[in-house]
Formats: sequence, structure tokens, C-alpha cells
Amino acid sequence: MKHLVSGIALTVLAAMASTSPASAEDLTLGFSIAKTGPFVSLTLTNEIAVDMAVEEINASGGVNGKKIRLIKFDTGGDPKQASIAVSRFAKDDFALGVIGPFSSSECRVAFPAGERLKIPQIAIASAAPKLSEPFAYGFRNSINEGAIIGSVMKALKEKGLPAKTAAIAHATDDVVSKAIGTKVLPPLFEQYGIEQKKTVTFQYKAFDVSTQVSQIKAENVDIVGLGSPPEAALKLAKELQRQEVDVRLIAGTPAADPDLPKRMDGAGQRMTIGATFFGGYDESTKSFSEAFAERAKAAGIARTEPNMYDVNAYQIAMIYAEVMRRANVTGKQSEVAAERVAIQAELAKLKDFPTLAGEVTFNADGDALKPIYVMEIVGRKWELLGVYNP
Amino acid sequence: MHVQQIVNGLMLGSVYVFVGIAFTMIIGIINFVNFSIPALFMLGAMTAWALLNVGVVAPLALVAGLLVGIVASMAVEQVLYKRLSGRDPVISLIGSLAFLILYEHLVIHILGSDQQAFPALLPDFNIRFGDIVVGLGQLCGFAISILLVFGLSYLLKHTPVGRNLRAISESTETATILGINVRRHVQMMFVAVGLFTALGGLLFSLNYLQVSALMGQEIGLKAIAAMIIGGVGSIWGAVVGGMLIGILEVTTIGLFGADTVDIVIYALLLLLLVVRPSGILGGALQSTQRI
Amino acid sequence: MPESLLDIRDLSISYGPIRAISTLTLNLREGEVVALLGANGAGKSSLLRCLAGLEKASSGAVAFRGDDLLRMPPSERVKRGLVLVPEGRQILVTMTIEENLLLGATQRDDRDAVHGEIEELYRRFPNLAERRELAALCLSGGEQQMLAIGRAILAKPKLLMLDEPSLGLSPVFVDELFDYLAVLSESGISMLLVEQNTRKSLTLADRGYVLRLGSVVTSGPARELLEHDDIEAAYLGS
Repeated sequence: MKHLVSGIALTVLAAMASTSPASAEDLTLGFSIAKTGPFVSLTLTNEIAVDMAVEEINASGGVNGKKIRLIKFDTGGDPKQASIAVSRFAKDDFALGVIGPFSSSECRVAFPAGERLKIPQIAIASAAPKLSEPFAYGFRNSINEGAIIGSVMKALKEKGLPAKTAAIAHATDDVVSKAIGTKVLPPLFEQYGIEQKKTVTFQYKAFDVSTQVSQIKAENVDIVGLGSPPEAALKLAKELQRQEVDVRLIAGTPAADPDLPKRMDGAGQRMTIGATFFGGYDESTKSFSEAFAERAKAAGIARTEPNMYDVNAYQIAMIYAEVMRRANVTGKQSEVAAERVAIQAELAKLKDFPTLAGEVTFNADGDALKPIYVMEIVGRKWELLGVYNP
Repeated sequence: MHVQQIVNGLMLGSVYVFVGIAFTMIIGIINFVNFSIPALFMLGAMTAWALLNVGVVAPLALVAGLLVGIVASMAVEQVLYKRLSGRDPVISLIGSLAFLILYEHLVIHILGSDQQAFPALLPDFNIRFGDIVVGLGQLCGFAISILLVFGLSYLLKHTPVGRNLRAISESTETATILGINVRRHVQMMFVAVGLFTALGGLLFSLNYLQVSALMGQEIGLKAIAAMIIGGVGSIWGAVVGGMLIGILEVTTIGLFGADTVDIVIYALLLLLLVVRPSGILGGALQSTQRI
Repeated sequence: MPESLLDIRDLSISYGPIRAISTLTLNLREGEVVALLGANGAGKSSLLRCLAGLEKASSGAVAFRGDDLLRMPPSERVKRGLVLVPEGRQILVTMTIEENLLLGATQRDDRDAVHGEIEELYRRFPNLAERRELAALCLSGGEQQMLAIGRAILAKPKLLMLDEPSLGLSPVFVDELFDYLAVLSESGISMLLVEQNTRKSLTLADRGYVLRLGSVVTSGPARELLEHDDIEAAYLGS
């Protein structure tokens, strides 16, 4: 009999631990995180940034007198799992909103699911055009490549840097890289009156790009527009250096690796990119970077500098705190459906919300508008070339 | 500029030559398609990378890479030897394929599947002839592969060991009757294949500064193509085929872009199989080869 | 009485369920030429291949110059002087005549002596000397047989095993072949001879064994066997 009672007690405890129903004091947010999968080098550290944001909010008294509680779900970068995550957050955890998912392919599945359940989601990195437009509850705290590289072009023009002729080099087997090379760069070059002389292609795991570089060398251009992940950018820059080709590489977010200048080891000088975060911008970004580095080191992660997606994730937590404040949410289970609607309405209205790295606005499609930092490699560091508001 | 592209193609081709020779030697002498070769290429490089990563000095790490290549190759011989006698070539072929997958996944399990940066051990030194740039590391790789070919063809033609190997190549049974210790020669060959292939992997890493658990596969496939195009069982065929594929790859990238490279190379391979099944240099050799 | 060179006791050889040789006992003294007679399928070739190390014995024992032969790897058997001239000659046709001869001396270290012996062979067979640097493919059947035997001689055999050496040769070559074997025998080389030409081989041989379905049916001095009426019958397998 005693065994039976303790058995039942254990079962109840276990059930409580696993479903962990929100206490009346908490405001619950879901967090779709990818601890493995195709973008793991970008996603693994997002958790550190979100934890930092939630701790800061709770330490300063929480929201409407209540603490924020995070429920994490590891999607492994798998779209199917991202959609399962949304319905779990909505039905089982009574979450008020979701931080994530990360990529466009996850959003394609998770946004429709969230729309049916009427739960807001704010994606961390998805940048495929028009993806959030049909969904009232789907938001994205990321900026499309056209706007990013457009800012790079603007910076070159403003500084009077040589950019009369250009070549394009892009990977063919990575969706974003290929889109940059074929859809983003050509119209931008035309818009800025730059003569596009040549396009060369490579596979992003190719070990030898000497041919492509020889072709670029033959054209004698001022700039090379690059659609490529950091590894291939590194390879191309080293080969350009070896063949003594003097050009400025310009690139978008796929190459935005904080460690890239160090890894270039002298190659790729003056390579110019746009991103929505620059660690050395002001006191707040610097102290954020330091705190982040400490935690990353403690967690045994090799990259200790935050990337722009870590900052996006941090901003999303801050945005939720702000809109929940404005919507006066209570976190009561009986009110959760109505409060999600109120949060969605506040998100849609969000304009010039000041947070880490600048002010964030959501446009009519649900996509973020925020400052773009254009930076170039000088020595072994990124240096700021200019900040551009959309 | 075209000269630069031919130089680029030859440097690239010398990587395929290295691995192609390993394939062609084993096929030529004991008629065995050794699919574990791409894994030996990878093991040499990944061992050196892993050791450098934990602070082992470079010469020691590189030698360890070669040793692991040799030991891995000897293991293939030990396990598959009884099947190699020609009675069931399919089983030995599948067996070597099993070794390829086993080795690759052991490395993935221990070191992960990500592409890794190999530290730059050689100074980034390039020789310039007017407009033409040749990397010293690449030139060394090229020179070593050419030396290797000359050395091998001298060994096969003019030394007792080479004579014995050619005898084994023509008929294992006759070689046995003549008192040649066939097993020992086969073991020697596997050691040589492990050594050369791992050396190829190391030279590749030193030049291209990247390694991964799956690095051998693409190079292995191109090396097999090089061997077939040049003529199976012919060392000089592997050279001609490897260099041809290098130059073809470079030219195709120049004309049509990176995505068309494999289409062009493998279409050419099939075309050649139709019009000249024995490969470019394989004519004389093929007619006397064992089945 | 000369010492025993080869001592085979109760030797059996099987290919799966098929028994090629069953409990065969045979012995050969130093300097002797022994002829193995019998119909196709009597197991003569199997026996020679087993002695050369190409086939495994399933039971029994073989002593060669007093040592356990069956435990030796094939190359060791050649080194100790047990050399096979295989059926069909097995000349390496892509290699030169000279290389074929050099390969015969694989297990020897005395290179100068080998070169002297090769020159001696060339004097005896000028046909081979003329084409020494050509691929052996260019030789006729008779010339190939001479090369095969010459190659075996270069291994310095104590016991030469010949498997159907006259097969497919013209009568002129057969005579030359047996003349040469007689010379070799004179020089002290022992022989185990499998030959379809019963008369010629028994004329050369000191003793003979007649095999039928893997067993010895009769044996004795060659002269007696030559006169025996049953031999032809057994040889034809009737």
C-alpha cells in the first residue's frame, strides 16, 4: 500500500516535471532551438543570447510583475520538428509566443502551423523573400540580402571607393549563396552603374578555386561580389592573394563570421560585408560581447564572439518583453488565447523599438527594419565603414 | 592567361595522379579494385590534422599520418587476402568498399564530419614566371608525383622486385611455381599503396589547407576516372588520365561553370569506354591482362 | 644404397567431395627418374600440383630431403630444390625470354653463377639466344617447352617434376626433349615425370608407378613395366 502511494506520488511528480504547467506567476515563451543540424555553427550559441536576455529582464523585475519562463525545444534544424515545436508550445505549454524558428525552411512549415494555432513566432535568421507576408502571426527579425548588400554598395559610393567594374563569384550548391550571385548582385550592380564583366561559380566544398581566380584576374575588376559561406570565402580570398589579384570582395550575411578576419590570416584585406550587428559599435554592444564571450567560454564553445543571429535572438526576447508589457498580459491559462492576439497586435505595431544594436521596426510583411552595419577587414579585425538605416 | 589555366590544371591533376596510381597498381598486379584507397588518403590527412590539433609537432604528426595509412592498408590485405586469389573478385571488391565506409565512419565518430582547416605548415611561397604563378607546395606535390611515377616504372622494369611483380601480374600461379613469395609481394604492395596514398592526402592537406572525413571520396572517384581514361593497369595511363582530368576540369569551369565539371568528365569517360574501352595507353597491356 | 629424396606416405587430396588422390604412398631416391602413368583423371597432375604447393593435401605426410614438405610455403619448396615444370608450360608471354630465365632463379643469391648458367643454356638453345630480349610470346610450342625446362633448371633443382612435357609437340621436338631430359638426368637431377608417351618415359625412367582413380595399382622397375601387358590397358583407363 505504501508502495502504491509513493508510486502514485512519483508518477504525479514526474508528470508535473515533464509537462511543467505554468505557475500563475510566469509568462511562458517557447524557444525553437537547433542544437544540431545544417546551421549548427550559427545556431548553437543562440541559446546563450536568449538566456542572457531573459535573465536581464527577470533581474530587473520581470514584465508586469511576473517572471519570464523559457521552454526550449531542439528542432535539430528539421522543419518537421519546428512545426511540432510550435504546436507543443501552443497546446501543452500555454506559451504566449515563440522565439524562432531559425531558418527559412523551418519557417515554411512552422508559420502555417502557428497561424492556425494563433500563436506569434519571430524567426531568427530566415531571409527568403516574402515568406512571412501571408501570415499575421509570423514575424522575422532578419533583413533580406538585397537590403544588406545594398547598404554595402551605398557605403562604397559614399566613401568614393573604386567600384567601376565587377565580377561575381558564387557557390552553386548553397541556396542563399546562389540567390545572392544570381538574383541580388546583378540588379544592384546595374543600379549603381557598375559594369559586370564576369560570373564564376564554384561548389562550396571545392578545394581548388585557382581556375576561378585566374578568370577573375584576367578581367582586372575593382570589386568581386561574393555569394558564399565563410569557408569558401576564405579559400577564394587566399587564392586571390596567391595570384596577386588586387580586388575588394563584397559579401552579404552568409560570410558574416566574426572570426573571419582572424581566419583570413592576412588575406581578404578590405573585404566588405553588411550585417545587423557590429560588436565594437558602442558601450552596450561591447559589454554584451564581453558577457557573451564569458558564457560561451564556460560552455566550451570555440567561437566566443556573438554573431548577428545571436543578437537577433537576444532582440526577440527583448521585443517579447516589451510587447507583453504594452499588452498588459497576465499569463493566466484562461487568458492565454486572448493575450496571444494582443501580443500579435502589438508586434504588428512595433516601431523604432530601441534595443541592443539599434531600433527595430516590423514592416507590413512582418519583417524587421533595423540598422545595417557595413564593415571591412583591416588587418585581423572587422572595422566599421558606416551604419545605414533602412 | 591560358598558360596559367594549364598550370592550374596540371597542379590539380597531380592530386588525381597520386591516387590513380594506387588504384592502378593493385588492379594491374593482383586484379583487385581496392575501394579502400580513398579512405587511406583521408586517414593520412585526418591523423596528421588531429595530432597537430592537440599540439604534436609537425614532423611527428605527418609521419604518424603515413604510418596510419600503411597500417590501415595492411589491415585490408590481412582481412581480404584469402578472397584476393581471384575466385570471387566481387566479394573482395565489396570487402574493400566496407573498409572505406568503416574507416570513414570511424573518423566521423571520433573527429566529426565537418570540414576542418589544416594549419599552414609550408610558408605561402609562390614562384612567378612573368604573369604565371606557381605555388611551391603544389610544385612539390607535382614533382613528387612525377618522381614517384618514374621511380615506379624503373622499379617495375629494371629490378628483381619489379620483375617478380610483373610475373605475379601475368600469372599468380606461375609466379608461385617459380618460387616467388606472392603473399610477401602483395603485402609489400599494400604497404606501398598505404604509404603513397597517405602521402598524397598529406600533400593535398598541406596545399589546400582543408581536411574532412569524406575528403577521399570525390578525389577517389576522379582518380578512378583518371585511371580508366588513361588505361587500367598502366602507370603512365594514370598520369595521362589524371593530368587530362585536371586540365579538363579547369577548362570546363572556365567555359561552363563549376556545376558542369562532373557532367563533362564522366560523359567523356563513358564516351571513351565506347570508342576505346582499353583507355588511352591501355591497348598493349589490356590484351595480356588476366581476367 | 642412395638416400631417399622424396617420401610420400598415405597422401590424400580432395576437391570438396571429389577425391583426386587417396592414401598414395610413393618414394623416390636421389638420382632416380620415376614415371607416373595413368589415364586422364588418375590424379597425376593433382599430385604434382600438391607437391609444388598449389593444392592442399587433406591428409598424409610428405618428406623431401628429410623435411616436412607440406608445411613449407611454395617458395621454400623451390628454394630447397623441388621445382615443377607445369602442364601447358606457363611461360610468361609478356616478359622477355631472358626475364623468364631470370625468374627461374628467383630463390638464388649467386647472381654471377646464374648469368653463367643462362649463357650455357643459350649455347644449347641458340633459338632462345637470338630472341633473348623479345617477349616470350614469339616462341613456338617446342621452344617454349625448352624455355620452361631451362627456367626450372635455373632454380638448381634436386627434383624436377614435369607435367606432360611432350604434350602438343611435333615428333622432332619430342625426341629433342627426351634427349635433353636424359642429359639432365645424367647430370644428377632426379625427376618425377608425368607423361602421356608411356614408351618414351619408361625408357628414360628407372622406375614407374601406375595410378588409377587416385591410387597406385602397380609399380616396379621401368623395364618390367615396359614389358607388362596390363600397362597400356591401365593407361587407357579401361
